[in-house]
Amino acid sequence: MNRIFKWIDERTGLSGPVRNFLNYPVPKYVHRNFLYTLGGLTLMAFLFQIITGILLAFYYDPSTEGAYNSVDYISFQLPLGWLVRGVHHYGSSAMVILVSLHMLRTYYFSAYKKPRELNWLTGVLLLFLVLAFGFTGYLLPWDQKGYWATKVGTEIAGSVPLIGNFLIRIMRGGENLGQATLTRFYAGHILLLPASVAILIVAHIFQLRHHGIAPAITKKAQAQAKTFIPFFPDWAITDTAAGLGLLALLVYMTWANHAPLEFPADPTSNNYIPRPEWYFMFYFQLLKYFPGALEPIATILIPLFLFGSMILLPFVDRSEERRPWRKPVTTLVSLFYIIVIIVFTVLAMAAYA
Amino acid sequence: MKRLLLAETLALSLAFVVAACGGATPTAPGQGGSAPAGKPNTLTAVKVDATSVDAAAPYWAQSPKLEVTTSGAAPDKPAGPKVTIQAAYDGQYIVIRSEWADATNSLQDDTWTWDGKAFTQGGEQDFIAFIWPIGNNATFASKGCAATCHNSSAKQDEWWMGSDSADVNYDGWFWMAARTNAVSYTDDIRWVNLTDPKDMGSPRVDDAKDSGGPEENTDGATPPAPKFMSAKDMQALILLEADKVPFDQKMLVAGGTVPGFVLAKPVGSLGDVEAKGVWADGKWVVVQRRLLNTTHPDDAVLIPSKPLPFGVAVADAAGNLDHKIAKDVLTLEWK
Repeated sequence: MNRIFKWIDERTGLSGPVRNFLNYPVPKYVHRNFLYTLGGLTLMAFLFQIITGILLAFYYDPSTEGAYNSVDYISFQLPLGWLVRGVHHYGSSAMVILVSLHMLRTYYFSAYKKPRELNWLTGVLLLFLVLAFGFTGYLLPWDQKGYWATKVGTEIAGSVPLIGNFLIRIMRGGENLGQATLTRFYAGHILLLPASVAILIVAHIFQLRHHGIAPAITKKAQAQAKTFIPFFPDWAITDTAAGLGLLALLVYMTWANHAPLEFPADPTSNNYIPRPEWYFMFYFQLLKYFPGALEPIATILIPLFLFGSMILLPFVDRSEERRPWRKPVTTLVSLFYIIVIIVFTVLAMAAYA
Repeated sequence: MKRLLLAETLALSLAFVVAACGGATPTAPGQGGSAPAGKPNTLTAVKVDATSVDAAAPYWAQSPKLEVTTSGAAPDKPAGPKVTIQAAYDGQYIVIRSEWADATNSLQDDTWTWDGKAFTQGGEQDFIAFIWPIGNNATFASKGCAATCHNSSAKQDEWWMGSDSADVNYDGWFWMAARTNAVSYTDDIRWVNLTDPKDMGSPRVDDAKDSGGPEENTDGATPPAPKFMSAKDMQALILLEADKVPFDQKMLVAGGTVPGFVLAKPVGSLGDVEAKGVWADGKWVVVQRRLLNTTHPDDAVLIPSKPLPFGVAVADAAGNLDHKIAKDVLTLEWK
């Protein structure tokens, strides 16, 4: 085996960088701390999505005539197809939750501050791309739920002043939802988004390695800040164990409740009530409060404000203070948004129920 | 700080779990032997160890009831009865129990009547019919049978029922009080594409059979007369293959009747659905049972866990021209 590695190393020179990567010292206070496994868990969830996505792509037919039947075949006839699709389905929700939690941890620990601004920005972009994954994947089964949610979603984009018509045509590939829309969403879902996410993850990890983990904020952690463990095997094993736990949870959720597949899309249906995926529910609830002429407030201003706030955060909050209990404004503001999102989500779910 | 974040984690995780489980709203099992009410327009089949056509099987107490409102298929006809439907399944079979009010037990089915000089033939029976799309059918699932497999002509003699495309077929379970119930099955039929607009009945075709099935009881002469009669009962409205004897005019008195069909349970796909219907106390209770997958190409495949849209119709001695249909889209789900 050593001869094989030596042969490869002589031709690639990889042993040095790999050794450096694996031996990277990690502060002991983050070891076996759930809050510091969120990034690794998100990466594991992304890998699960890639693997299950490739398996699904073996059988998926990205045409309006064949998409539903192929997903139907995967779900109800293909051996273990229900399991693969279920893990992919619930994995997408897990990605949203894990990215959100990871960003919350970063936010509360002020890990976005200098010199880690770019790491925060790549994280914000990754959150946006994970939501885009969910939005594009929703349509692919070409069932009633995906079709009508996409119709509403693209109409929201179309309501943007000045560029709305351009956006809706870009997303749909024409005036209406059809083959061009499905092709674009499929290409985005399996090519553009995975490639973009992979590049950003590499950039994110590179930044993490470059700057190291953000300074500890508690006295207990600070006391351990000078003690290190190697990334491999210590931390890698912890992340792997956590990842396997996540996989077990996804398998259990699939077993308990198979991924839903509604009836095939009927564009002529006039009584179907569109429902978004749960992580977009709060936004649909928000739209209810801004009807008619006020709609651009919800479709443009609020998303721009939130996204802009996240982008600008590390450049606005430049204080040295990192302890959230000493930063009541930023802490309370974030708690307000979390509560609003949860309440809006619950209200929307209750309305759809 | 850790506590705060853990609380947030728990809250968001809880939202995730609730959302993920949101698709299924479990129905509480029945208490004290009364079946629970089901979701609107949804027939929930419950898993049981073994199914049968027993209308009093214990598992019906646990099976949610779907109350189906029926309307006249023709706009000028009155509404029909409410049909209460329940379903259960085991590893191989699905069984569906239907119950609806019907003041009369109508067993006339092209019955011959002798007035002392000549025969007349007529009479309509009660029936209940289920329709299932074969394969995935977006329009049927979205709009139901009333919108997709009935035409809308105002003239009843131009009515037909079937599909408007050669690629679209429907599986039908056509239980009839006279023609099929006596031999414990339901006609397993198909509705296919209307290819001959002059033959409005052409989209309805029987599934394949090897033997058996109802045979018209006519001698084919002009004017026609019955070919067989019952060896046991001169007043019988049902004539089984095993009971038939050659028709003897001398045995019949004025006002006497002879069944219009000779009945034998079919062997083959036509006889896939076994059935048991009982009329008592002003209502029909019909239980139908079929393999989830008959492997016959002319049948819908029922896959537990896969929801399936369906339609239902009933008739009270009225035939196709005044049958009552469920206009809403109905969905079969599995628990």
